[in-house]
Amino acid sequence: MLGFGRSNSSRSERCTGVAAPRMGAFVAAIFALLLWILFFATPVAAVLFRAGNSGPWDPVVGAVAWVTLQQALLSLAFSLSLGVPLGLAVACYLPRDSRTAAWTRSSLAAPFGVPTVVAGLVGLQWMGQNGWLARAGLPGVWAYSMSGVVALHVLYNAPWIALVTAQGRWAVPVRELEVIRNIGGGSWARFRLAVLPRLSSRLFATALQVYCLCCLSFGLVLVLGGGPPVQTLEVLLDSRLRGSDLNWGSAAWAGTFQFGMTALPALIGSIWEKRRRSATQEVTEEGSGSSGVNAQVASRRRWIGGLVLASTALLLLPWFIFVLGSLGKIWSDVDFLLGLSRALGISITLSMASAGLTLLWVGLAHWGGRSHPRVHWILGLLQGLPAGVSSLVLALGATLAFGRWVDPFEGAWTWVVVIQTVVALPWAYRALGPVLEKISLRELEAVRSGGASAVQSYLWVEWPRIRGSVRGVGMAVAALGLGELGAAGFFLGEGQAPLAVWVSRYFSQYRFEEAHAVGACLTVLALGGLLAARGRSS
Amino acid sequence: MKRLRIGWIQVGFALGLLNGFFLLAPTHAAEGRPELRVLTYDSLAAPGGLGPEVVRRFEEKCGCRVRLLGVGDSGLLLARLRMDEERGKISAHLVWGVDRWLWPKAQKYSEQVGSWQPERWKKIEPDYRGPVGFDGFLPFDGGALSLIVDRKHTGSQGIPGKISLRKLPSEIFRKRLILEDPRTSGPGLALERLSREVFPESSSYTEFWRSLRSHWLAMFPGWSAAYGAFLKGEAPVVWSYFSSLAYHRAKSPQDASRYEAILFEEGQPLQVEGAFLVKGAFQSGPETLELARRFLNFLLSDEIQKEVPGKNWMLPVIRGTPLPAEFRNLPKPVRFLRLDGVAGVSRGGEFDAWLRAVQL
Repeated sequence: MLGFGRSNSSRSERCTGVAAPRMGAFVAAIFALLLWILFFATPVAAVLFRAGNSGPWDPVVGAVAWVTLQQALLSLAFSLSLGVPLGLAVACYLPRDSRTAAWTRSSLAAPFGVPTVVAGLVGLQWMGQNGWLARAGLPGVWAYSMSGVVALHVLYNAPWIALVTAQGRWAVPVRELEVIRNIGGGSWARFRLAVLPRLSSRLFATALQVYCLCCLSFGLVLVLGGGPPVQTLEVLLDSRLRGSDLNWGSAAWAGTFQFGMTALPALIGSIWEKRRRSATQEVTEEGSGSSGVNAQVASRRRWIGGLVLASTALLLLPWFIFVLGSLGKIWSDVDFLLGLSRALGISITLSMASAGLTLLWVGLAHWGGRSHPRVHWILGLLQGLPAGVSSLVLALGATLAFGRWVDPFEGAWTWVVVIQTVVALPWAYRALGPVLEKISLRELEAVRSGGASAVQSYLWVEWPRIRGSVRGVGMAVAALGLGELGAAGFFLGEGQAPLAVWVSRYFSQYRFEEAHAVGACLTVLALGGLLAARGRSS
Repeated sequence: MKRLRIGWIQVGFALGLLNGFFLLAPTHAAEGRPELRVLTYDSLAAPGGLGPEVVRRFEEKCGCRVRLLGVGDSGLLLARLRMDEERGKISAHLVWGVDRWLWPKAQKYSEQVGSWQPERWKKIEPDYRGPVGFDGFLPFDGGALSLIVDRKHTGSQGIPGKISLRKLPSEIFRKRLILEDPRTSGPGLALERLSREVFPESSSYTEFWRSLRSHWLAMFPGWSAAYGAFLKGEAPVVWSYFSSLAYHRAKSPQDASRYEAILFEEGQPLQVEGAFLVKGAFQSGPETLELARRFLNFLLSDEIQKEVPGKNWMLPVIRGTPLPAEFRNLPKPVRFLRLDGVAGVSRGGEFDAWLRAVQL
């Protein structure tokens, strides 16, 4: 990002909207590529190589893959069924720039930061044999089954889909809707001709991400799945990797299959999105007046807006009740608090380091992409690939590839940071892409021609524009890192466990009060960080 | 006001970062003191457990430092050794808490013992010691496993006090059982081994597990989670240790009659936990080997053995060790099954047949 500003490249200008000095951008591209090869390609290649040398195909992997696919597709279908109508309702009945809409956006984004291991605990609290639903006499105790896993995945992902849908709907220019209305088009015609084209592309990319996340589900399946036959490839991989089964060959097969199931759709999605964006040169049209119409609609049907607001609040209810339910006498236990403060420090350090490395990596990739349109395309494609790889596969790969230098007992925490970064990379790259590519060339040139250095022009022109988004994405990555369990459990040494590992440990010892308290702390930290970042960026 | 609040958030994060950097800094052995690294499972190494107590007392005697490396559940111990083998670096001198059933797999990671034998070897109960002499595996504690039923749970009606394992997949147990995964849990492995003993034919073994899979409510990765779910009232029956009854007698005498063991007509599997020296870990010199042997001897000392029931809720292995009152008068099984010699019904991987039965 640093050091651009001279208008010397028409090709890169066409591609990214800004001219960049070739040399600096090429160096950035090489660094981004090196990071990708070292931290992603090498571990994955080590796993693939091990699978290739591990004998015949294991039929159990196929059966578990089928279960994984079923739950992922069911979770996706139900998340879309709930999320899309909710998102459309939010956009139609809440004026975009209103305070209620801002609150709704934050509340829909919030579950993204809830760690999966906490989601598992919440699931048991509600859906267990002794859960609140059972106590209330409601039928269908879902815990310990695929239904439970799917239900929690929906609670987790539907708000995200609703948010994307609402943003897509808000982006539809009012003029387009009016034109269709003026030529006699009804609400279906307005939806099909104006709304759907904008929604479909956003939803397709989000649906792919939801599908990948559900395929890679681990902690939640372990707690709520009830054991075999409800297990994902990630759970099978863990037991073959770490259990007394000790079948690393089969683990490598599971990892390879998982990679195929998720990376391939991610790759296709990435290519499709790049083509779509280059074909349409999509610009954000948000704020083009849709809020005015929506405000009118909302004023006419204020009660529907209230209902929509209540629905989004309902999605947050389980997490809030979980946090409130943890307020017990455990908080007066000094030993517990001391342990918690240690774990808190480790969690914050790891998550902030992951966020920093992710932002650096994304920055390098985007800056490198300015060197040449083809480099931009290739780097974008490569950064999307890790969407198909879980932290456990990366941990296995890192151990296979760098085992001589990585000591899991001595706390290879740098690898925890690296793995959390790689896992968050595709999402961060996608989230920051449109912001980093949308730079005003004229303003930059004006500042440079006024005698400003490259650093000054960056700080004066580019940074103020991207600061809010960078902070928001950084906090989201940090929130993801706070809840990450696979790499943290795999690599951290004695006395170095972060909060997510403590939740899992307390839960495995069925010390529910402690597990809930740590989980609540984690939830507050992740949600608080996300909301604070959103508040400041807005 | 808002500025002030944001400032506090930033200060909090900064302090957290600082604290985290200190905590993540590599730990080093105390200077001048030899160090013994012991690989064990989490609940043995947990504060208040037996592990820290043994370490404290041993350190007082040896003038050395002992580091307990917790690896999660006991089923994960071998995986850590395998990882060390894979990367060509050994990280522990001793493994403490491994199941006797895993010994055939673990033996390749064990240091050759030669003619050395623990001082109190012959005082170990024959049921725990087995027919052969000391082959590297030092029994430390043990206990039989059984189904435990909560008679106050509404779902416990009609569940008999004694059954055949063959009758486990029956209607009275449907969705009332909590089990453990044999791949990651010692008790889970015990049930799987027992089923191998009872169903030596591959087809009947597969049929048993295939029909059982629709009967368990949940199969947890570890015993702690499974027993916790049972205590939480998720199901009336759990696969656990006999000594769980002693635990309830000690913790809530008024509930002593609430929990009962359901015995198998075929007998109860006997789990023996032990320790062994890690192969290739003593190349630095004979001093560490001597220290590790002293540690093994210390595990069999009266001072530690008498702590086993109260701290680890298992039975001591040394004959004549006094037992707390709650451990006396536990139900008598038909027989104890060591199950050491049970052949694998599967070809290839250890749990391939089991996994195919429950998954395919």
